[in-house]
Amino acid sequence: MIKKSIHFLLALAVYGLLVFYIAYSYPGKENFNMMRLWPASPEIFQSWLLTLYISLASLFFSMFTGFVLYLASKSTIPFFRYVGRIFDEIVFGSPLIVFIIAMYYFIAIPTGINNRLNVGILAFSIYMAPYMKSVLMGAMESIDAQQYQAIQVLGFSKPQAYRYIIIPQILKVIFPPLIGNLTFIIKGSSLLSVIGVRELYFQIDRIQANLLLYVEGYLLMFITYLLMTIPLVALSKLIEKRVAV
Amino acid sequence: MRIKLDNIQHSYHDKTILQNLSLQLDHAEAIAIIGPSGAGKSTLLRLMSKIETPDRGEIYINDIDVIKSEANEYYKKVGFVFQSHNLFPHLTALQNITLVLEKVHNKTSEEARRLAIDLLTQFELVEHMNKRPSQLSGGQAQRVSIIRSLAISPEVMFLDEPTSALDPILTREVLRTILKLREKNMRFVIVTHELGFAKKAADYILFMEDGKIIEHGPVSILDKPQTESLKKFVEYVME
Repeated sequence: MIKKSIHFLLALAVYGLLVFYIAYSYPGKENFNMMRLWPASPEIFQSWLLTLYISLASLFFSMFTGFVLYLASKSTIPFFRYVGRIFDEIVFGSPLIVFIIAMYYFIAIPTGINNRLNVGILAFSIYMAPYMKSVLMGAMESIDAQQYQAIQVLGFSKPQAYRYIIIPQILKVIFPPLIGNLTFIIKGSSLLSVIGVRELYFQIDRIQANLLLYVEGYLLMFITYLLMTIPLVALSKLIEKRVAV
Repeated sequence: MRIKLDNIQHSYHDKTILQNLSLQLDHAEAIAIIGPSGAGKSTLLRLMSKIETPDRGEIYINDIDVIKSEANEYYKKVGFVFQSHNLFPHLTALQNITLVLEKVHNKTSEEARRLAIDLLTQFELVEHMNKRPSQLSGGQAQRVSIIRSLAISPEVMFLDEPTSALDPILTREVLRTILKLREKNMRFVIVTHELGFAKKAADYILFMEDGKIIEHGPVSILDKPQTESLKKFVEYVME
């Protein structure tokens, strides 16, 4: 255990040295001052909250779209399976930024949806559907048919089976990939800046351009995004450890 | 235990597995169903335990009309042990037993725990009670699953080749557990390939082949088979 933590600290030190080297060799280092961004901190914090809101809302709605796609993939009618499969191919084959722009210019504007934030959340909810479908499939398939037979012969009622046997197992396997998807959405939400959503990337980018604080701005972007994603990755690892069966 | 099978017919995807199967037993306590692979042994067991319903015919276990009985009521009276242990992987050995007792058989958590620990102690598994199935050996997991069925005090236990997924050493471990069931006067029907074990544990033998019961009777029929099929089967297995 002690050995592992020493390795971790050494790895951290390597990154620290790298940052120090970059800072030391940076030509304009004498002007570097993170505190000059401080006056803009309320706006930055607000945009940080907005990014979090977009991500959580997108995750929430994508569970529904993912579920619909899951049902389509399990349909006995080939038509629905094909509809789902073609949709998978479109999403897996297109860059997120292209998808967001297409959603905005080809769907939102012609249909009169003016709220860019809602368009952004809608775009993510649709784009993430195939990824959510995979998460659901993994969760459902994690319970093998024999367990259902055991549930049957032991005499559990359906609600009891779901409450005590099926849902606890599904929750355990669903969380790590779900958190993975949330991390993906948080990072990807920066692309909503292309349609003018005032999320974290958009706001810091605007502030750094106004104040001519590019280095400080990009550094702050790193820090603020990592402040969201690192705890999530840690949480996911913790859950994985806890649920190892 | 009383068993009555009346003209049972069952098929999977147009393939007939059991054909016009009839049988009446009034005093068998431990029945071993033997026979070559594909004879329909497991299918018959699954029909008797209501996991499946026959295409035609009637089944009575201890005068209960299996087909017409309400499923959850019937499952409260019988236990079933699968080829693989089928324990719930997110629960410990102890929880696998207490969950059924508490939720299906309405025992208090205290009663359920006491009963489960008592059985785990009797079957020398108490030191593993807090382990999850993945931390148990195949034999231990199968024994826990036998205890899970036994804990509900069923009128009859059905065991479907409970050692088929185990190596010879673990098989012995599980067979010893089943012999212990016999000592406790538990009534059971077991599908098995272990003829030596069937002789020790059962008091009645059903020999099946091609979806039919070819020969049945007390264990002594294994020493003096009346039919050519059983004779060949015994010779083949004993080789």
